[in-house]
Amino acid sequence: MKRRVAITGIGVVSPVGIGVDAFWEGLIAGRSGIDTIRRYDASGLPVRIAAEVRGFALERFLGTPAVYAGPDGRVPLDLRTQYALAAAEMCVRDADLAGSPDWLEASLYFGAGEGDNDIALLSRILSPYASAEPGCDVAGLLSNGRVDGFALRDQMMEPTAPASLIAARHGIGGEVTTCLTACAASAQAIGEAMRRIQEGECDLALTGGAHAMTAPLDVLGFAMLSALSSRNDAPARASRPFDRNRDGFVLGEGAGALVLEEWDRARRRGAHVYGELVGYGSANDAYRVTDMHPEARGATRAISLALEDAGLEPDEIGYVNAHGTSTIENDRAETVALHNALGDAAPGVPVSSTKSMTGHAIAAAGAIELIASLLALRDQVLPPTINFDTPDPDCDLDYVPNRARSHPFDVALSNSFGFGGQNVALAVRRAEGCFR
Amino acid sequence: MQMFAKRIVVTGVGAVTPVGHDATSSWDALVEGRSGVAPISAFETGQGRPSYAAEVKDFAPERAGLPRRKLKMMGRQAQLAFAAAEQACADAGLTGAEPKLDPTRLGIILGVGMLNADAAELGRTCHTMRAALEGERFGAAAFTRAAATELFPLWLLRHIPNLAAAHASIHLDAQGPSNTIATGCVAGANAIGEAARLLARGEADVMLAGGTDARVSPLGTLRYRDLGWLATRDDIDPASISAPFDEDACGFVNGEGAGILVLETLEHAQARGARIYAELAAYAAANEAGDMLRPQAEGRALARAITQCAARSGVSVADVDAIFAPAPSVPGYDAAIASALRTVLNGYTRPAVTALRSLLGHTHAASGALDCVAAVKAIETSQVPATANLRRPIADLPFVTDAARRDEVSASLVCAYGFGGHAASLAFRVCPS
Repeated sequence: MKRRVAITGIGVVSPVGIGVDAFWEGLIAGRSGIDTIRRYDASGLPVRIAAEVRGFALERFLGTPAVYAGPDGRVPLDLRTQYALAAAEMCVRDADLAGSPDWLEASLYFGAGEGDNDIALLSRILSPYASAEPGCDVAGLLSNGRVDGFALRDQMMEPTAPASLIAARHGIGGEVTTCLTACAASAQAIGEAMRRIQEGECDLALTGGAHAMTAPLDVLGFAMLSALSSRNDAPARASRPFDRNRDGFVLGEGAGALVLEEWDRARRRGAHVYGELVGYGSANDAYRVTDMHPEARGATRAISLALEDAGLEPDEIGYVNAHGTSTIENDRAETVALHNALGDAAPGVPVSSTKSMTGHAIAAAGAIELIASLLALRDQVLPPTINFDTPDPDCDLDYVPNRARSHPFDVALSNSFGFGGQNVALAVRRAEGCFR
Repeated sequence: MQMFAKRIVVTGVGAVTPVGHDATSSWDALVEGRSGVAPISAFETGQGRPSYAAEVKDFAPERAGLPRRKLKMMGRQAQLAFAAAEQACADAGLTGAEPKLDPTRLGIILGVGMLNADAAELGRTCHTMRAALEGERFGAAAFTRAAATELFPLWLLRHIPNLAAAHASIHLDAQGPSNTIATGCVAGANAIGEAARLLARGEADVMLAGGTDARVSPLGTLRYRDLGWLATRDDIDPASISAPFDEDACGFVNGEGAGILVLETLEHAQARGARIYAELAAYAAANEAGDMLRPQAEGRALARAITQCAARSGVSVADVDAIFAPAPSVPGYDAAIASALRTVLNGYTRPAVTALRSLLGHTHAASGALDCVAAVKAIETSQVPATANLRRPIADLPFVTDAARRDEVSASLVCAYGFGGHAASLAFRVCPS
């Protein structure tokens, strides 16, 4: 018999709201977090919109400035790491486990990418060594002694930095792992953390993900891949999953963090339970590095495996939080996958994409969206897909268009698909009464 | 006390290293004590320091079966992984095997590192940055405008970490579970441990697992040098510089490479009549939960991981024949690792302790995986390579020095440890038939 996994704490930093309440209010009100980029001068970019987190101060959560300070020096933390630390702090407090000695035996499994490049800093370092023809005088760079401000900043961009700093802050002494499976990373991290508890590796785990791919080179890179919406003049209308006139995704940022606990442990201590994590499925397309398989074979299998893992029939799914990026290809293929995996039950299941409001937070998306699914379960209200104006014949499901909807249901499915053919699905069940 | 619900075995190995382009030639070089450290060839260092690295020389990805059109969108770490994966599959008898494996039961987990721009890419970026200078001020808008025309249109694909696994998955039609782990220098070891767990819980029949890293790049070099971790001497023979566990250790040598194992359930391996190198008996991992950049002096997390791994494997540390230690030749890390080993060995002298970074340099995310390849080859060939350049050991441990030890190896242990507080351990043993 598999050990059961309860979700007992959540925390979120998102362009729609910082903190669980603001985030959820924003989603239910159908508020877009997407706007013209304000953090830097984006006028040279083909895409000048993103979902930026605004009004965030890490100090409010940690009581200390957003700086890494160690024996080797001090350096400002990148945004991704700041969001991660804040979300982790929120979920640990929410679970009433701040300062608990139990963290020493706990696991941490996080989904993250690299931190953002500070291109102004790189320019200061590299420009003196640029040659007239494309090239860099590396010999000159390496001959001129220590480069001020570079090494520590660069080291802290490592994918493991958010998880390692969370582990240090909360004293997490078990396994600490970071996966970076692109847009599926934090969903995969949550699934793997769930397995750790099921297998008895630990009774308590912190999980989730963080990412901030909104820096100039990130926007440029995705724009050059033709993946982004170019609706620069109507930012709040740019992310329109499943709408016929969708033209790409909008980059977002943020973090989501969750506390997972073995069911009996959560019950014994009278914890509040947001839901039971019941299913996890993961499969690869093995098709192309960026495009989904036309028949969505990986996504279909991920969903089917999650159902099988949870012992659920397709008609028991009451809501799907879609990956729904707003690209032509993803939304069509995801619809195919839901038809394939849910069969006759598919048309009756409401499906919404909160990326219509949050933008695409890449490695953080899965965690943020699982949290949205848990809140939907708690309040029995579905967040809408905003900007859904014109139905697409290729996307023929119920996408909860434009307005939140009251909906009694017990099980939610959250999909996360990513570059590299990564496909992950998670299933959560409403907890039968809270333990307190 | 067995850790895995099913027995997991190694049926194939692949490696691309600074001392060889495949697992066998790399292993022979390690046993003979040949060093992979040499003057850096990837870029001009001039009078710059450091000027040595452990690079994979003359690596021709086309020969590994990589289509030319794909090469442009693959970073070097993806190319190295592809070659190692291809080798491991061939070695396991999976290439062209009939009946074909069920593709949905074949998966891959790789440990990867930070992806730095190579010299050519950095050159283009640098050029663009110069163009974007408005007097002393850097113009972000001018930079991005220039970069849009100057950069290779698919450059981002070279920097998406999970695409190393994706390229291999596509080539091998691996439609099962896929993961990419980045836990610094422990990533390759974590990947192999996670793959074993996944097999044990029945989510796949065969997994490719390992690590890849290629950061002998200008900025990677600058970063580690300025953190004070790199050996910068160039007044001695390159082969002498990496000296793990030695009083004269003066920093690590930046290395690159990829190591991959084919893991499968014993049942599956037997059913297809596969050759079995060894059993992967146990895995454990832990974290220091301390400062990210400084090892905790006693190496307590590493000691915890090793102790737990040994207990799970059912092989007492006293009966282990070979221990592959992660000492990078950085004094603080070497000392913490030596301390952890002293704790777990508790005076036992049977295990032969060796540190391959003395010959391979520090291959970061690949290092733990390459140690696993070596741990398997040690069992296969009854040899344990010596730690090169170990003249004045910092601790009284049963090190192999001078020449490889030639004696039966029935159990070998891999330890992994690095920045971020990560520690892991894997136990291999002769597969009892």
